Amino acid sequence: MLHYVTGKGGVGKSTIAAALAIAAATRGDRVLGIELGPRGGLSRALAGRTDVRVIQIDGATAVGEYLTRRMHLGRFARPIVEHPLYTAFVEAAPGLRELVAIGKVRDEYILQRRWDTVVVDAGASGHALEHLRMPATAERTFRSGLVHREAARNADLLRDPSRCAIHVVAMPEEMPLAEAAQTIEVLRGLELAIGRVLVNRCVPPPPSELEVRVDDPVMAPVLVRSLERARAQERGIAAFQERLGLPVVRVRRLPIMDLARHAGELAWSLAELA
Amino acid sequence: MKELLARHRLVICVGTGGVGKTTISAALALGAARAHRRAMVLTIDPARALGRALGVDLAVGAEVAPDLHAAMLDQKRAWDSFVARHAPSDAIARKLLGNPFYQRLSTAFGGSSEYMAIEEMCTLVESGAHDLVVLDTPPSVHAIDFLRAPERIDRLLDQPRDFTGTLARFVARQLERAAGSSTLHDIGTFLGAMTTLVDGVRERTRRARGFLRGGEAAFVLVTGPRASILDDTRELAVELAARAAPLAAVVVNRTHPRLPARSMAGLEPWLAARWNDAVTEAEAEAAILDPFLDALPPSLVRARVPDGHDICSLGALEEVAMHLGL
Repeated sequence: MLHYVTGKGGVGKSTIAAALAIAAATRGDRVLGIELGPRGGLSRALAGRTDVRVIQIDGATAVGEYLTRRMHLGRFARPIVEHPLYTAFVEAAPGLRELVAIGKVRDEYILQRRWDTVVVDAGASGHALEHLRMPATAERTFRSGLVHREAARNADLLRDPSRCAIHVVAMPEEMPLAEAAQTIEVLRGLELAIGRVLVNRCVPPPPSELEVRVDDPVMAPVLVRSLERARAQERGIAAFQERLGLPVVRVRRLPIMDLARHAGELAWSLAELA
Repeated sequence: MKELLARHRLVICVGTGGVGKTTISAALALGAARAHRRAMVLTIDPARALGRALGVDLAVGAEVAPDLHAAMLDQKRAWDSFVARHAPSDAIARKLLGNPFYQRLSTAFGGSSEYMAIEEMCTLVESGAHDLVVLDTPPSVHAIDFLRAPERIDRLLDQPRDFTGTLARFVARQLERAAGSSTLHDIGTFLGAMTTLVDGVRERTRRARGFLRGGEAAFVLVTGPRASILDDTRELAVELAARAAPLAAVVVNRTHPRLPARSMAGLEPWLAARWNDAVTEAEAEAAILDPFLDALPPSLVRARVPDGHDICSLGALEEVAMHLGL
């Protein structure tokens, strides 16, 4: 299975991606982790593990490799990728880097058949969506030629729920959950294979009639805020579910700062998703 | 921090996504305004929260408090006016605006929003209407993209336009195989039109680089009390230094103070569990944050802003400014 983990910056995407990879490796899968961009959270969370390999795919270098291989350029590759016309093309072509990054994921996963599970950490902010939108966009921008055919094949993979699951990670607050709902709607519009929505750092739902009756001046504000946040979490999740008719997976909040240990702890609870 | 704001005309907030850069940028500008400097905070497209909090439409720019202006960068519009400003004729401007590659560049080219933020910033600083401009940088995959943007734009414009040689024709044929002929035609038209903008743009990027590295600019690194964010922040600090960006301050946003031991006798179980979480998290946070702050060069201004002050009103911003030492 190809797991694609997306979400806004700071929601704990890399930890969740690492937990999925660990869960799959624990049951015996051959697992590859992929970072779209430079080494980051996924590498750090999986540092020291021998059962998961992590690679980085950087759009700009990947374009050269990919075009060379696909176009069977052989010894002509070098003069071509060093030519200014080529450089201009790669710099300016809409979404070529994103498309090629996805294409390389597909290569690793499908064509080489070396992995049972591939987990992609799609990087910070709205860029993840940019990547996923790309095959469909490129199919339209490049109306013919090799890139067009590549785009179509990549789009097929991202749309196939038997091979691919695109997960969205969110925080248990109203605005971030509303943004996650928006992301899901975009994914639905693109007819992509939606996986699960994971709400990270959830606390257990508070008892409904609970009030904070504490006089301690240090304790009271901390508890009042905890309760307010937990209520906002429940409101956000309810609104999300109502808007999309989609259940969410609650990932519990752990007071752990160490990335690798955190991912290891979460792996158990995410085992059935991997 | 007061002195830092007083000594500079341009403050650039950088940091990885989700740390609260917009909040910190706005609070810095507010602090300067309170010290009677005419301040402007420029935020980037997705950061609509600030406008909502202040009850104004940032798309048009507005004075949100005495001496405090706020504006939001609309990337598409910024690019369009950029083309209108630098194109040698209306015909070339129209040709560019209608080209699919330009349309893509103006919305999603890597580094494009960063470049426009810099462009807008230069215009603001040069207008002389403000004593201080605070720039909230876009949420990049890689925060350093911001500093790289002028070079990338330069490189894009730097391509030679003469593609008549044998090798060039061969390369063009290969690219045509890859991209289809209509696409290659669009790119060619786009690059041809862009060339006419070169001189204006080059002058701009040169001035922008001067601004970013000159004595009037200061970088503020915004971070958060999580291991992954601190790791990214360390890398970013190294890259800023490598690019000679004048880093002046580090702000740790959303921190939690250590909590004292308390008896939980009689406390409702859900609340008792939350108190326990809060105590453990605050300890874990101190264990990673203290060494991080200790390792910073002593010349850097440092500030901690406690959790719970996200922008929801001008009052909340005032509190953040207070925590920043303003």
